[in-house]
Amino acid sequence: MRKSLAVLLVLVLLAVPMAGVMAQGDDDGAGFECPTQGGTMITAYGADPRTLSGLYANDGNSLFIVTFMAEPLILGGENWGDKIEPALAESWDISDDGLEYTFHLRQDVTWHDGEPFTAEDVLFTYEAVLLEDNAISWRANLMQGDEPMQFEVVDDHTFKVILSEPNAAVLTALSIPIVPAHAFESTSMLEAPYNTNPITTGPFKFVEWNTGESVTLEANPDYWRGAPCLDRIVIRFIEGAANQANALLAGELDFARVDGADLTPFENNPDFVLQTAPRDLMRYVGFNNLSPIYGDAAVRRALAVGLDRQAIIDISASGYGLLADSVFNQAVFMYEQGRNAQYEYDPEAAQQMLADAGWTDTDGDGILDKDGQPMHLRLAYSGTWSLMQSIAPIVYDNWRALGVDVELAPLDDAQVYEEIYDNVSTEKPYDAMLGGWGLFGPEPDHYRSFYADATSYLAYDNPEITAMFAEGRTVTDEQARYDLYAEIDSKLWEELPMIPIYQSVGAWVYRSDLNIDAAELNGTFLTGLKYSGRVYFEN
Amino acid sequence: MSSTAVTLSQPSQKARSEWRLIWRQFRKHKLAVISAVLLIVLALVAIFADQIIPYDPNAIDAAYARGRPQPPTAEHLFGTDNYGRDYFSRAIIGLRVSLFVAVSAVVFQILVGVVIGAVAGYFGGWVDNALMRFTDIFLSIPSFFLLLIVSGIFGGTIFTLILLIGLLSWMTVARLLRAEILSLKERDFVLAAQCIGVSGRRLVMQHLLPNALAPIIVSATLAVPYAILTESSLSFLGRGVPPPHSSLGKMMEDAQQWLRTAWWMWVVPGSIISAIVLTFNFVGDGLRDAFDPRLRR
Amino acid sequence: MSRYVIRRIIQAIPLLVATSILVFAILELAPGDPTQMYMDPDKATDPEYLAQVRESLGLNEPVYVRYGAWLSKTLQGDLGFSFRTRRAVTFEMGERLPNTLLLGGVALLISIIIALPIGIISALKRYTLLDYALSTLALVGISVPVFWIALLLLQVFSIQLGWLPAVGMHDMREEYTGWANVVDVLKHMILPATVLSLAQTASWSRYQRSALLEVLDQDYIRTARAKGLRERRVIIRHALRNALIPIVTLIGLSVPSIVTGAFITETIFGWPGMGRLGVEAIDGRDYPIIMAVTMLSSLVIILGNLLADIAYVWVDPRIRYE
Repeated sequence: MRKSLAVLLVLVLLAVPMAGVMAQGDDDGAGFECPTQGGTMITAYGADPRTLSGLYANDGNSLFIVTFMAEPLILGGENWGDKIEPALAESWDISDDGLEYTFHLRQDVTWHDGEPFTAEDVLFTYEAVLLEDNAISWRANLMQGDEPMQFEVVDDHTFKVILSEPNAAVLTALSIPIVPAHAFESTSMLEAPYNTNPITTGPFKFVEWNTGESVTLEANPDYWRGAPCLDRIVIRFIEGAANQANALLAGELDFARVDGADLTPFENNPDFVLQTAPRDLMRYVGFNNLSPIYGDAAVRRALAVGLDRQAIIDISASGYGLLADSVFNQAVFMYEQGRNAQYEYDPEAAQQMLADAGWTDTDGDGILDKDGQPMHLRLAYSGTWSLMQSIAPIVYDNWRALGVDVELAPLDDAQVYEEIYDNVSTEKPYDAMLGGWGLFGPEPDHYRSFYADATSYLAYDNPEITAMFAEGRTVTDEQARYDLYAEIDSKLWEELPMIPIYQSVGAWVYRSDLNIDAAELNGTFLTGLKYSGRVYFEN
Repeated sequence: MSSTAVTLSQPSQKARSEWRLIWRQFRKHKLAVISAVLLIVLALVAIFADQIIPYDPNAIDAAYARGRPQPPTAEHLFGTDNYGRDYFSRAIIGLRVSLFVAVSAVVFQILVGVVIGAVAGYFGGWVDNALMRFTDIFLSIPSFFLLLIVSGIFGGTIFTLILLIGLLSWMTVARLLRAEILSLKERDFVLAAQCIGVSGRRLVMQHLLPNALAPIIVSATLAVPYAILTESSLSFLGRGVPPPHSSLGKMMEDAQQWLRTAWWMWVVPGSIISAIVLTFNFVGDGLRDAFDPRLRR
Repeated sequence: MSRYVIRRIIQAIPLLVATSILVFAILELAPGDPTQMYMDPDKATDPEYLAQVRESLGLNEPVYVRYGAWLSKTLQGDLGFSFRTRRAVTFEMGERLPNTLLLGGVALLISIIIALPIGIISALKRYTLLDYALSTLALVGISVPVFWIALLLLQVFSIQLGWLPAVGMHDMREEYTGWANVVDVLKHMILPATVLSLAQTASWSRYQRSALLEVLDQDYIRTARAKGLRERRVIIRHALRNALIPIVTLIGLSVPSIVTGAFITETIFGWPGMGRLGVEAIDGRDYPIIMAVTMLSSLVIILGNLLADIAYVWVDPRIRYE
């Protein structure tokens, strides 16, 4: 018996989308004329995908490929862009009580095997997701508490979603790639052959998977947004950022996201174009708020002042990052730069703040102490994640200089889960942890799982904040909502249950004869491309 | 004088001249002598590392580096890495860590190897058989992969690295010693000692071991480079000495991203690793020749 | 001879079993639970769900039961399913192992082709400048870390000069077939195979040199010379044949270092082989793959030892195994 296998991208937390502000997009993308036709674009990702099914793809290796092939009803969900926009659903109506969503599906869409795309496929997809034995991580998106959403096929191209209570964020929740009903024998799909041989509706279709080497995709000439300009996309599996950069330099890749230090050879290089776009990824130091030492907000603030976060951006991200001044990503709707006073790096002030909180070096051993207890800090992080490995020594050095006895604890992924994310137990051996979150889109309610959930790994329990987050789900007036979340932001910025370091800025590098302008570089898609069908080679 | 005195002093005199002969032979191998001197210098540097380093090897100077490695200057002899950490200090401490790991691992593997080899060789029979099968098991293990597994999932510490490298490489010593003892056992002086009732333990400690010393010394000398390269390969794959410690392999890993732009980042640790390995190899070579009576003319 | 081979193969079985027990035990003792890596984090608090996932990964039974099941399945040729991809381990290995064997085989070939002539020339021109130069070069070859050389060659030949591909096994722009495909794979193999062969090349050339020197000192060579045979004939007919014996065994005994090198080289050059799969499997705690890579590497090493012994007999007629 093999079931319940949901894999996940390390440290990317799944969001449960709730009420939010959204606009119906106006660009359906049709009518783009390719300046040139043909060619193969070679890109790369770290390793073989775990699956090619959009329903199971929640690790980067799989998602990267799936994003070229599959599509949801609506863009704007996790890894599907930052805006609510029509995709397979042309438009939708919302009933006055906010409980019924009627989606009008595109009629000109066919699956890659020629079958027409209908509402039955949508129903099949959502039912498969809800089936517990399938262990699909999207399932939480379609649950309202313990109750699943109700679905109804009205006709071939009309699909209805019925809620039991209003939920303004249902559109992001439904942004799940659709799979074709006819490709499956049943809704049970853990072992389905589809997982390695997918049929989708997107601009590119699956051709072959050479284990350990590459996946080849081919243009879908019948794509509803218009036939892609490229003939083929090849995704090679190249482990390690440095190796991918080497392959780019050697001319074996045409397009790839490049990290940090590896970017230097591409800067001011006439053979390549370098473009950046912010990604919804925050790097942070989270505290174990149950700790008698770090449960004190004054200590956390002092440590924030004593941490050279700009140095972390410069060193670990080669400058490609936005210094955080909010406990939310900049994509949330009420973000405003400069609302919160920045914690400027000032080690002397930090030391003073720690002294004010009662921490001084009374025994002269170089380590701060209070009531005879030394200030020890076990900093846990993923030792297999090179970014965290490069940040850790900076935190270590900065806080050591303040007199904190920092102990670095690089853990392998299974240990990260055991020590940090296993919230079954309240025993948390770490004092602080280095991490990164991927919370997507404009909706601040997603952050409940950090700041308003005492069982989360931050173990942050603040009744006032919890109540405000609860209120945020019911408030419908936009201005009132804006003010409420702005207040949450300011309060949490004072409290700092975690120190947000920086928001990641992705840098994509591609051959100078490749044109991606019409494809719209967008960091909230894993591929970096919103319309991969519009990438073309200039002659 | 009395004949007893002569016989008593003879072995030690003989041993002394034996060592003199070895030394004379070793001296002929110029490269080995130079290497030995270099090794002594490196060992001294490692021992007095704390007194030598001009900066704290983990101290970050972000303002100086601004996220890019800085080239060598008078203040920073080997430049700095992208953290602004003094690369000279890191190299010295890295040298110490790498040498410490390698030498300790070799000492450990020799202890294990000597015990197993001596027991197997001395007792022979089923003991020998069992121990040699045990050795075969370790010889058939893909030891580097096992190292990757263990350091990957248990998390490497300097101590576990030493233990692991030692545990996975004692087999050569054990086999060498066993073979040596087996052949020595048939030699006249051992048979004679047995006849006059010298105890087994004493026989091993006083006669068999010293005679088997030569191959052990040579194999130990040649095992150090292997241990250094293993440590640096593990660190290179991100599974060696844990941060914030510096080791030569760790420095190589850090340098990977700067191959094109900062030569000192990889030239420094790479040359030090190569130099250590090369000198140990030369010294090992010289010792092997020196111990080999056939080469003495 | 065949009886000897059969006996050796039978002797190898307990070695493999012991290795498998060792690795199984290590994975069992490892801190952290791979189950949680393969779970939906929203439901990670649900103990029932945890048990379900554990069962689906086959981790619910006590360790000896799991080991027994693993062993009996393995003996039937079923290596289980990869935790990560849910595909059969035999399938994953079937895709990767041939690539590793190809790379390793070519590396061995390169080592032989380069090391033997160097060793022979060194021995014949003993104590000349050439000999010293070659010996020093060989020592440097042993002393420089493999990954360092790999990165340097990559930098020079792929990136600066653009002569050779930097990653992978196939060109992705063209679909080659037939000979063109062979040439393409060979081109991709030059850098990784060269790097993989370096350590062997260096040490074998040194062994070859000293082996030949030793033989040249033997009485029968002097006799042959005294008989007035031409030097060429003496060396080829009498000296070389005997000097090859130690090398032939060395080739078999070098298999472990080729296996070790594969883990590093394949990772650097993106070679789709077993070594890279193994390194990835450790990060993903993919136990079935880790076990399979261990067992196959072990098997290859044991076979290498066996081949060394057989080759020894084949080259040296004085030795007979019963």
